[in-house]
Amino acid sequence: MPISLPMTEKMSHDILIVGGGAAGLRAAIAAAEVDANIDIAVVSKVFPMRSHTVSAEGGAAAVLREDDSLDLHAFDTIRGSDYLADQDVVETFIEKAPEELIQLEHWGCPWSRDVDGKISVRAFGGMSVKRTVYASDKTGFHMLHALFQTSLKYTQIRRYDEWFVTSLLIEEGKCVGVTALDLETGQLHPIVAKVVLLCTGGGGQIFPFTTNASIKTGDGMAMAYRAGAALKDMEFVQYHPTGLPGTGILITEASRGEGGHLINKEGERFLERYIPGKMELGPRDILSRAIMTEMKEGRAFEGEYGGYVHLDLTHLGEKMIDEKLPFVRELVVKYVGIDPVHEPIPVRPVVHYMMGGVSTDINGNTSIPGLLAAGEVACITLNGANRLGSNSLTECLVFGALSGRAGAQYALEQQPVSENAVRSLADKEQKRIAKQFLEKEGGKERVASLQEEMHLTMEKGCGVYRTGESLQESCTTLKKLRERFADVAIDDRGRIFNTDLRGALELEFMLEVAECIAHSALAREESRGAQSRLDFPERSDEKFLHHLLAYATPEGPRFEQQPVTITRWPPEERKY
Amino acid sequence: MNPQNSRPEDLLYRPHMSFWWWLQKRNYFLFMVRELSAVFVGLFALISLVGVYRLSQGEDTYQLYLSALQTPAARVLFVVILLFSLYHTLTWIHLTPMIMVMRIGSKTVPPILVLIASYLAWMVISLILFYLLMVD
Amino acid sequence: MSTIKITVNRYNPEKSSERYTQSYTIPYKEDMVVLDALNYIKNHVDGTLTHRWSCRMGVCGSCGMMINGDPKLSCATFLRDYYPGEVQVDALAHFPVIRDLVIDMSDFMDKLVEIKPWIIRSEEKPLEEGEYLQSPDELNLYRQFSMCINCMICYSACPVYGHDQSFLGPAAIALAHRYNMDSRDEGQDQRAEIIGSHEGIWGCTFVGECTRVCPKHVDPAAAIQRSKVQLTKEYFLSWIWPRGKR
Repeated sequence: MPISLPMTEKMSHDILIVGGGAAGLRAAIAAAEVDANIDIAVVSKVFPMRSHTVSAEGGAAAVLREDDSLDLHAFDTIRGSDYLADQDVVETFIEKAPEELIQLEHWGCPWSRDVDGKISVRAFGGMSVKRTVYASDKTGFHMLHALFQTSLKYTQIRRYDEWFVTSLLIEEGKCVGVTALDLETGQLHPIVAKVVLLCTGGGGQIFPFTTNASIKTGDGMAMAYRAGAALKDMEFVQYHPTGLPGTGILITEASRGEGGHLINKEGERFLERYIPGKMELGPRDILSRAIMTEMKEGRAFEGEYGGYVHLDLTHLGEKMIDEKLPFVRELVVKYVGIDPVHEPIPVRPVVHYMMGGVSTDINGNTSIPGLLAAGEVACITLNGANRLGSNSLTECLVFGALSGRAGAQYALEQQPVSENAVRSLADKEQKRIAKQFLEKEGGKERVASLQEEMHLTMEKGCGVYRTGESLQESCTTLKKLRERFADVAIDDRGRIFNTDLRGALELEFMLEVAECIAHSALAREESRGAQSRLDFPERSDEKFLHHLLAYATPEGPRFEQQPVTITRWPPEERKY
Repeated sequence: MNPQNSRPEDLLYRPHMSFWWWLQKRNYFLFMVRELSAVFVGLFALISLVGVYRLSQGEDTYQLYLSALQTPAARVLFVVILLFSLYHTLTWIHLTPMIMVMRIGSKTVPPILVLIASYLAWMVISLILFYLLMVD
Repeated sequence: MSTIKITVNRYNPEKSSERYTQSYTIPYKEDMVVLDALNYIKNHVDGTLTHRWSCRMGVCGSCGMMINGDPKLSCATFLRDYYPGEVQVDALAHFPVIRDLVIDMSDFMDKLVEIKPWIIRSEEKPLEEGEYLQSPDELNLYRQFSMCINCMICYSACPVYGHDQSFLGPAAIALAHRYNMDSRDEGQDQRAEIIGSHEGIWGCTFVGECTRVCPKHVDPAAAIQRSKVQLTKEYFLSWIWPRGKR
């Protein structure tokens, strides 16, 4: 790989946003509105309209109706988080949520409407009242396109499309930019910035069955972790109860919100035995565990891809399904070959979201000056041990906006970063990539096989149900996989659009994040929210009512504790 | 080609569209037939205009024009024109519902009704013209 | 074990300025889509095979390519529709190729910006006053045209674009129409200047292939023809009743 040519183009910005999904684009627009002269860069490894936000279906929650209250949304969120959410964060979130959804409406987002022209709301898991705003059942798609198209208005936003960020540039403890691989040319460039805002999403691809797209590989989390920032609450991985077996394609919670039932092999609505108060509208962690238990105890169907239960929409009627759940019908007809109007859908829990991430404050600041994070990649935390459906899309907007603004303000106060200062850091990264991948000789490991082994151990040891033993085994396996990664050889040694190289770099990120997840789950000796340990089946507020901060060391993560901020809702038993 | 010294734009492979593109797909071919049919519709209009002109030049000239139209070659031409005109009309009638969105109040008229209305309009106008031109 | 043959039309500027084909025979399963086949090849046979993909559920628009001569989403095209025959895969037609199945999207991205795909209003309502009211019927006027996933398959099917890349193209014009039909938008006049040009709607000869191949049933051909009707009406009306006064 050649040393970067002298930069003919200015690659220095005030604020550099990594990732072009809902959080990243919202942040970019927010930064642009702080000051017309702010120079904003959005660096994304895919074109922004391909970001994973696009796959979200169900909706975005906020208090918009008379029959609702901010306190109720806060309580629902805190109870849903199994009391691990920081309540000051929740209070900020629910307060700002309504204006963000109205703002998106003003920007053209085609929210579904009531007959009187007002924005509609639907029921969703864990929510006491109907407050989930939706755009048919393609909410993420419409939100992303509205945000992306609106962002095109702001000429001070410069986009680097299909530039893969490989590392953060840290100088004297401060983040001063990134190194990014221009996929089209294969050249690695340093891009300096006064502020870097990570909006890279989560890492569902660490697991074999996931709703997540191929691009969700935990990039930002791994980069921040390597740079010395803390990752928080990594043990909490959300399984969405209703994904298609095999492909993992998401069947939105809205299908239950609109009245769908979950049925086991014996034809019973089995949730009666687990959460009779809420049934199909219970929070995701409880439902996923219920389905896994049904599978374990032989009351589920058996299929090519393992066990599954039925999601029955047949009683809703064709008209309702076409009006409220048309995309669900389309997906099921296409990928399962049945019509949900007439037949129940096979579903099973699949990995969907990571509650954990780079530890930040309300404005997105991490422990590294100049480095911010927002969206799924960040853990402030709003969602605690379990996220309620439809809070995440709103989260991206609220905290994307807050960190975009905060980042812009911070940038206005900083001196420009000298490009020469980071030249040697960028050269080092270039040499690393060349030596490790492009010019590597020998090497017998393949990216795909290591990824499969990572999948196996994560599903087995780090899944819905965990034990100390299974987690320890996963930690050991992952350590070995990381060692074996040093021996990886990629087929493609070319420069032009090398997706083999990109895949290897992504696997490197994933292994690091996976290890952090496994160790964090081992360190938390309790069951809370999405973490369910068979050897510690109870929640223990005396011992574990705190966040686990993980810092990278060569021997694995070192943990520190961070207390949970409690304002008005003292922790109690999580009842539904 | 040395990628190191080339600009990215120069490394792109730029495909070339074949002159025979319209033979490569059934729909492309049918499209070209539809476009070609306009030529024949135009030709008929031209022939009619010539007829008007001949009429203005006097009864004899007009009769000569009419005899020319009754030669075997002319009859074949008219059959061809008729076939192309039918194809032209039918394809455009079927495209009409896509283009003409009719609204009554806030509801949209179902496309099938627009299609039926187009057919009916065609029939009615054709019958009227037939009566005017053919029935003496 | 059942197998199927996949033949890819490839391109690597670092090797040659010409394209070349390469065939792979891989294990076949009934529920496999073309994307699965390409991923199998890349993961287990030939890591140099280069293609774009992300969501694998037909909503991100990354994986458009020519499959046996027809532009399709590789994640939404089942091998069983071709099995046991050979499946031929090629980069999306009418676009410059960067590598293998990856095409250069810069032209489309430029056109996207050109048509001003955002709500244009002379006066914005303050957020505290809530949403702009829009009835379900008003939403239905443009909803279909908002479904575009920017996969550019329509550009591949359009012979006008194939001949002349200055044509704005189906997706861009359909998006302009989406905003023009949105009751909250007041930007029709601004967009009319852009789409009412030779490179815009008047370049379209209504082949209709764009609508046939669109995986999301956006119906761009309808958007373009309706824009033609609308702009023509506006043009004649403006003689009698100038726009500014309306």
